[in-house]
Amino acid sequence: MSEAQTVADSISELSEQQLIELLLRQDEPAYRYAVRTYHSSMIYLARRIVGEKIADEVVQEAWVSVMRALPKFQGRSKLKTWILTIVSNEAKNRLRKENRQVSLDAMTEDTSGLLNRFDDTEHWAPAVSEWDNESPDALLSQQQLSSCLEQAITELPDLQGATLNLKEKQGYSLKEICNILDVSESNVRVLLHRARNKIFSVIEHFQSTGECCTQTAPGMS
Amino acid sequence: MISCKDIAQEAHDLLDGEVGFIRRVQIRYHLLICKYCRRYLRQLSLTLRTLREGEVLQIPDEPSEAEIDEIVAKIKQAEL
Repeated sequence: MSEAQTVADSISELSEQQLIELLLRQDEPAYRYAVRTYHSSMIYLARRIVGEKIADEVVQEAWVSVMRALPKFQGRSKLKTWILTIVSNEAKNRLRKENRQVSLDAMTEDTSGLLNRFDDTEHWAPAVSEWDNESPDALLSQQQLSSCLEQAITELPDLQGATLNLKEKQGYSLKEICNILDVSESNVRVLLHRARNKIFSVIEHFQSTGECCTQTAPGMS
Repeated sequence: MISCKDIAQEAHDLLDGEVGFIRRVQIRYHLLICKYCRRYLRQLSLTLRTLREGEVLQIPDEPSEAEIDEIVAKIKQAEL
């Protein structure tokens, strides 16, 4: 085992508060551990807000902001949540500097069509069709559907994609997502529900037709 | 009287456990008499399990040692 690995392992056993104390002392192994642990989530979030091209730059700036602000961190949230909040702020500031805005209206658009398929008496029209598969494993064993879902997630409006990932992949609560993205709880709910509906409608379409209904065929983007 | 449209609008909160007791009872009553809403909720629940348990939602890989070197150098260069 390398010395670097041994140091990383010993840091990983520390509490969050102990890690923060090491970071405040500008301890290099602690820096390396923090970057290794949190960087991927930071990059993902930045890409969703500012796009692939400048996400790396935004996250590098965010790391400096994190270390500068760390003495003021009061521990009201988990360290990772606080770091992601800084990434989100950096990314939005960058958009503002470039006269690009995050439009919440566009982000909350319902692209699933699910909320418009009711008749005058508010019954399903058409009804939801029965799916052939009863488990995630069975659904995802169809390679084409799996690729189709990945493509559909890529095509989600950015804040919808970020919200879906933070909630379903990384397990954040709605309140934590509000803080990270700096949007109201009701807007976070709308973003999450729209994103889930879109994924539902993609699976439903695939189950009915055997075809992917994303804008770009999987693997072509 | 709850409609199918109401169910579609409240399904997410229901699956997230964020619907109050009385509303839950009203929804359950509708589900007893509506097989399409039962199907919708079952399949929405499967959608969420697929997102949580499957590999379709991803975050990038851990940074390489070279990337870590670069970021740590940037932090150390900054006046903290």
